[in-house]
Amino acid sequence: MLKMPNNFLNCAACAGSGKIGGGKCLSCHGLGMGIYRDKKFLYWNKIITNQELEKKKAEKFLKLFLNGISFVFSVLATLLLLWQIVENSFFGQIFTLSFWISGSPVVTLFLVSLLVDAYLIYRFSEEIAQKAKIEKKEYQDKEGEKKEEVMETLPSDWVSVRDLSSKIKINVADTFTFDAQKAVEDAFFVATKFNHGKILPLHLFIALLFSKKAAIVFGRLGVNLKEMQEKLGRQISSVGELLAEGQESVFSEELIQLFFDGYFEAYNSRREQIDIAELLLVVSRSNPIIQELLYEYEVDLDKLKNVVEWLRISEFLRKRWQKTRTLARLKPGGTMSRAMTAVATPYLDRFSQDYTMMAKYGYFAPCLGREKEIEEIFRIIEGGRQSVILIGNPGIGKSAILEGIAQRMVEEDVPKILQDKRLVNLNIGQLVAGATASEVQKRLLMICDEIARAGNIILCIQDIEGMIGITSGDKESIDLSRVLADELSQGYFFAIASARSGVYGQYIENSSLGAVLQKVTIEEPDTNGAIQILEGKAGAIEYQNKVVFSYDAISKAVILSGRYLHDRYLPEKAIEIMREVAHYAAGKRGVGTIVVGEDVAEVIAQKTKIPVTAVNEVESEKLLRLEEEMHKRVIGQEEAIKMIAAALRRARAEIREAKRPIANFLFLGPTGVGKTETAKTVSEVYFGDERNMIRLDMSEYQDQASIYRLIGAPAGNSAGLLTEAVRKNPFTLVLLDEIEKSHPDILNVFLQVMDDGRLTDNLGRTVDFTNVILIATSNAGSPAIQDGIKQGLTIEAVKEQLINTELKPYFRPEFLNRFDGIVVYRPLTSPEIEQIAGLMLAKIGKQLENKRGIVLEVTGEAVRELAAAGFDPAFGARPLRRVIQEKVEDGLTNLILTKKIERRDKVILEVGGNFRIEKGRVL
Amino acid sequence: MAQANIGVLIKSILQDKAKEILYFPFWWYGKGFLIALNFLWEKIRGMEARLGLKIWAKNLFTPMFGQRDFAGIAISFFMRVVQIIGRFFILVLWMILMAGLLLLWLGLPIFVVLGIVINLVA
Repeated sequence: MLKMPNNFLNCAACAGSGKIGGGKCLSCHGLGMGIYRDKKFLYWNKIITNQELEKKKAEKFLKLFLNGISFVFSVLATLLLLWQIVENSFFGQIFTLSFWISGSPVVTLFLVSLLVDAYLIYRFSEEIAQKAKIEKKEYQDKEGEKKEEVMETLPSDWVSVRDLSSKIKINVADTFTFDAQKAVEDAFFVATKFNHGKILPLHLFIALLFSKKAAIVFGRLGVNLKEMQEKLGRQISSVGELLAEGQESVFSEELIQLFFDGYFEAYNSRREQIDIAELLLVVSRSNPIIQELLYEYEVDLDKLKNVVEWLRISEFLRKRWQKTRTLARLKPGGTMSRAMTAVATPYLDRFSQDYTMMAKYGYFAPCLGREKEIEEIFRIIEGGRQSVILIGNPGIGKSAILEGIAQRMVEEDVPKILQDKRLVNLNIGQLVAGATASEVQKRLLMICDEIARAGNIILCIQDIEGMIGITSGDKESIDLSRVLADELSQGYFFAIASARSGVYGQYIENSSLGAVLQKVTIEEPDTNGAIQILEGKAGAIEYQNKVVFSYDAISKAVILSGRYLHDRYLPEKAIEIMREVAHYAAGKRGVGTIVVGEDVAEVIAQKTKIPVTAVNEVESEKLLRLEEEMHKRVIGQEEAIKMIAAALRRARAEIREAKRPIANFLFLGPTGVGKTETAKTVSEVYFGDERNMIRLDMSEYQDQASIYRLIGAPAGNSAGLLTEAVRKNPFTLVLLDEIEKSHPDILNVFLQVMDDGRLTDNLGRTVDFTNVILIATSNAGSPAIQDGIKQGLTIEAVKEQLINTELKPYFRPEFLNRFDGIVVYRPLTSPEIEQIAGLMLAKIGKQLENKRGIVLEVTGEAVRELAAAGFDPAFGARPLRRVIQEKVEDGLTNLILTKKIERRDKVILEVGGNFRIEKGRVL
Repeated sequence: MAQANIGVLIKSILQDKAKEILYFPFWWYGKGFLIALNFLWEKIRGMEARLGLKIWAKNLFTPMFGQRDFAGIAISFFMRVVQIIGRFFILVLWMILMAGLLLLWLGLPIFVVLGIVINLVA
């Protein structure tokens, strides 16, 4: 239960009610319960009894009734007066006093109606004024102020509270919104219904669930409200003491304390009043039963807080939209400034868009969570009249910031230097289109000239790197960017430019442009920041697609796009996913549907081919039978199969380290024992096809320079074979065949891949290897394996010997250490070869049947004979393939070419390589 | 019992209503007057913002449309003076209107009550 703070005061005389025998309690002066915190004394003074609530209900009804009657009366009296004026042509007389005191009943009635109107104004305005507003929290930067606060002595009894100024005594009940007040009253009803003596936080929580806002919050969280209410009903019956005869439920200390917490929650988040959202947060935070219940629906406090934030963001956006609309009316729509000092810019207008005008007419979406960056830009511009360049990766929100600045310029909520100005976006594409370099430079100079004359233009240049490298090519000709830099350095106008991170370092930082542009780095938002940006965007996407987003969908869009879409950046990639998912969900389940996290997972899975959706029953069955499936292709090698199957299951159940590849395996063994075959099998069983893997024959990478074939040559434009393949298909198997043959430096590259799960290519892109299964095969130490097995050593002992001695010349210990498993493939035994022969023959039979409609049957003796002929302990199953080729495939080919066998015939292979033919039926 | 309760309820509501009605004139000339004053002041400020009088005054010597030659500056100056006078005149008219509304606020109850009394007597 909630721990009460030390300075919580509860009047013993009136038991915290503030009243004794219908009058004010003299001990606490009617305050009842209170607490001193943050230089304020909070108390709760609201009487909730059945009688009070009945009275409130009756008053509400009476108010509605009287308001209705008054309104009708006013309208009728006015109409009557107008009718009389028109009927009797009194137009000239209405401005004379005699008309108003003529004693006419109609005039009297109208005067009475005016009095009623005045009374209505009085009532409405009093009702609005009744709601106290929570004072705005001041920003405290100075340490000293905080210390002073701590030093203060806290009032610890009612006598010292009496001496406090009335200004700092706050009745928290007055700061509740109507909805929150209603919830408190409902909590009283809930407690009364269950016959409980005290109103507890749990009662309030039940009451809150009936509100519309809570329905939105829990709807977004995907909680079935009805079911939760039923569960709460079961919980509530066992808590709290029962109501005594003739008594009414009263507020418990815990609940009053929660109201105070609610006040500070609202105060800290700069809200004007305590609403359902604040109550929901503090109640859930304080009560373990509620938390336990929410966990059942996979809702933790963080999620709840983010959804409450969502409510607030929507409200904030609505208010800001209204404010912008009101202020936009004052902003001129054309090229002219309000001071009429500007000059028209017809030439510039040909190559640009007026961002302030677009913002004025509501063309831009609101810019969220970038206040800090915008303030930094303003500081630079205001401080030194310097031009600014925004540096950040694409999709991070550079354009959104520029649009946000345009919106603030419309509201004139900008430093003086930007007031009454236009933000004009210069389109580089239009500027350079259809002109030679010298013409482009001329254009730019003319534009600068216009800007100088206009005097009210802030130039915005997005992707400014497009200006670099445009020269006429003649001797001593200068670059277009240099022309702009020269103009900017003269200081008669300034610009806000933007560029991508990589490009800035490469082309701009050390150029003349770099010298005149002050750098502002725009970072990718963190997960919570991105979620809140998406919450701000959700409304428009919901409206367009007629769907509703659950919180899970939003958070999954951010988390999964962050994890699996590596080429792009937050928040843009998550917003794109959101748009796509909204469309996808609406198409799948129709309009009005709720977009859930699983929809997002499905879209991301389709895009990346990585299984990120929840494991369904079919897949779960498949995962459990993985070994069985793999053994259909790979004979023996139990250890390897078990290890791989376990790794795949762990990956799919997400019980693994997410920052490394799914698994790194090294398969050791002589040739032909099934190492590559195992990899192919994994690819077929888990990735859909045996060709769905990246196979690198490491014997092709024997020199140091071949590393560039893997990751791309420095300063080259073509990407590396490995990095590009994994970038395009991040969920795959990478097979490094015969790894001992590659150059040692290449092994170092894989050290990093195995440890960090990423690799940077020549173009500076980080390629994600965390969804890759890395299998390396090696023949190193094969003789030792064969000798060991011959000597009767166990596989474990052979492995030990290999790692300690045989592999040392090929691999460094740290390289071997990175593998999750080193599997020694033992040489195949004769029965295993027989099984393999059976599999190979079955494959040939299947091909024959599919292509020619001929059935192949092989007798047991024939299989044994072939296996015996193809068995060589030194070469594993490889010679078997040759034997089958010679004795079976060649024989069948002859039969087909000589037309001895035809469609529907059956060929039986017997001992000695004889083919017996059973003719099929003739059509 | 129930009837007694309803009686108490009605009594309590009527008491509250009576207090409310008695407070009405005090509100009208006290808190209500301040609210009306604030409302009308905001309207005046809104009109000033729309007319941009401060901006015109601040730029009195700044040439209009970037015409920095002598003729341009001279014409601008006179044009701005005319604009400022014209805009100021509109603002004054607006202020008079607002002041009228404020007077209406102050005089309305007296006028209405007197009117009703006289009419009833007549």
